[in-house]
Amino acid sequence: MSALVEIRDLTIRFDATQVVRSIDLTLGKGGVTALIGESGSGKSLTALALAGLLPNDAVVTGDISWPGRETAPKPGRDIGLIFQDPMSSLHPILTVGEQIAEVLAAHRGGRWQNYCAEAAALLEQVGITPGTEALTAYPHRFSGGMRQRVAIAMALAGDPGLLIADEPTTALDVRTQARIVELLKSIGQARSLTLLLITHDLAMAAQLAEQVVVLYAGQVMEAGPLQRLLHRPRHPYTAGLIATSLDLGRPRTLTLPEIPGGLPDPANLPPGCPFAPRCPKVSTLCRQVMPAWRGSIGDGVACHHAEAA
Amino acid sequence: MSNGLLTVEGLKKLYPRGEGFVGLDGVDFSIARGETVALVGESGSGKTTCARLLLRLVEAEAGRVTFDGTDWLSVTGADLRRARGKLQMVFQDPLSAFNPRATIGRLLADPFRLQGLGRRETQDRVREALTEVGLTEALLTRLPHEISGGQRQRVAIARALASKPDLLVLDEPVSALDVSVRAQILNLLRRLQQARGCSYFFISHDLAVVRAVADRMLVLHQGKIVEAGPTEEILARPQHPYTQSLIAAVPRLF
Repeated sequence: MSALVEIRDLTIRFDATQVVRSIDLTLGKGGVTALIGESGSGKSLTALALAGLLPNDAVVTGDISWPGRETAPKPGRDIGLIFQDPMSSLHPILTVGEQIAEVLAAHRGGRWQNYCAEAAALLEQVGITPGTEALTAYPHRFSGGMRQRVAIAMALAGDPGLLIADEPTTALDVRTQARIVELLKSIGQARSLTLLLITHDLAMAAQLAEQVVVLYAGQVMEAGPLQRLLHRPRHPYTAGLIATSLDLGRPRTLTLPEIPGGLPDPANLPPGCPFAPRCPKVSTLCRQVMPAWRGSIGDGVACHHAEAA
Repeated sequence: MSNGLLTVEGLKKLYPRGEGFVGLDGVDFSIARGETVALVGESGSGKTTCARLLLRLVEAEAGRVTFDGTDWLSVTGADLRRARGKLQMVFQDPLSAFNPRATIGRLLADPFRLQGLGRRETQDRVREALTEVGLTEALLTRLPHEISGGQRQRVAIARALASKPDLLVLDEPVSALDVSVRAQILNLLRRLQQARGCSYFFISHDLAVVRAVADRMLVLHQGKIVEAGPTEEILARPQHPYTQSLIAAVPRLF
């Protein structure tokens, strides 16, 4: 698979606080990659850096290159974005049809009125049945799942090559979540989209992703193909995430496996490996030296005590 | 049930929404002492209305609630204020439930001071409460936004337990927590229940979490309980099509 984008040694800093530390990430063209992380892992900031949407006070170093492109891709056109709360992407006092048509007009020029038929076609692609009712309704009339569908239609309006979905199902009911996951899957295939999924939820990522990157405290702990990572995790943090996931398919236990301790404060990270204070395999070396990356960018681990490949 | 703590019969409170109604449309269930019963449902199913009714935050249209032998819906005034200590609540996001300018020490001391305890005794009880929920005294001088989500939820649990409640209503208590912290809180709740013998009414949309904590579960759909029974039994052999669709939608890791 050829690369759509290559991120190398990406570091993001706000004032004195490093929130993303030397991340390497390659997104294969047409593939689905999941960035997994808890709060403060840097997953959303990495995605914003990719879209060129970081706030002005962020200090960014490292390279983001787009092989095969002469100019940087434009967010909104070449890169579609959807977020946890679709209402934040939707204009409350424009009808759904009008705002999708406006996005089309903004990309291609002309009056929005010329794009109503195309807006209807986009809505149909995201599973909203054609008909004037959906086009002329205001977003607040829609359920959370329907709003997320509208947000996806808007993100697709620029015909992007990359779709970044940041916790796209977290605020939705479980049955709606499953439908949005299905929609993302089918749209990705139909349009040969590259999808970057950002989530805290390993089980949700497992429904969609081919490639998984596990972040902790702004660093990549482990990366690998989904099945390898789930069945043979090499990093103790990945193993811990899998063990603490509550999966209906596993036998029920009276006491749940825990990862002890809490997430580190990004302004006050311990020296060495950031996971060391919570790690069952911790040694003196871990507390002193951040382990070097072992393996390839797409399949490797940063741990002194990594399980064998 | 001889060891019944709470019995709910025909409990109803509906709110007009569009052309129909949402809320609770007449439900029956019971909770035994020391038992955890989960209420499972999607948004708009009536879960939160049910919690509000039990906590006496809204008035029921119809129905009867017997709590610890009393006709719970007819308790009023000073009697209700006294009795509230026996039925406590933990919310999804403690940050929105706490006074943002009160230190953790003050937040934990409040319920004991309300009980009329003196300064010295309050301090002792706060220390005991901290230990019980696995927090250190270093947190006492911090503000709610200065501690982690998991620590905040521990504080919320300690506060709720301060009045030695018989029943704790937990509304999505781990939904806002990071996954690596969630199991800690669920294990803590189990240990506390074993030590104190209190009952939990656990409200959640997350069947995997419900399975980890609940002895029995109630499936709420459009204000009505469509299925009820032992958690493992329902998850293994759901009878109602709605329950079946909920279980089928839960993402699996493997």
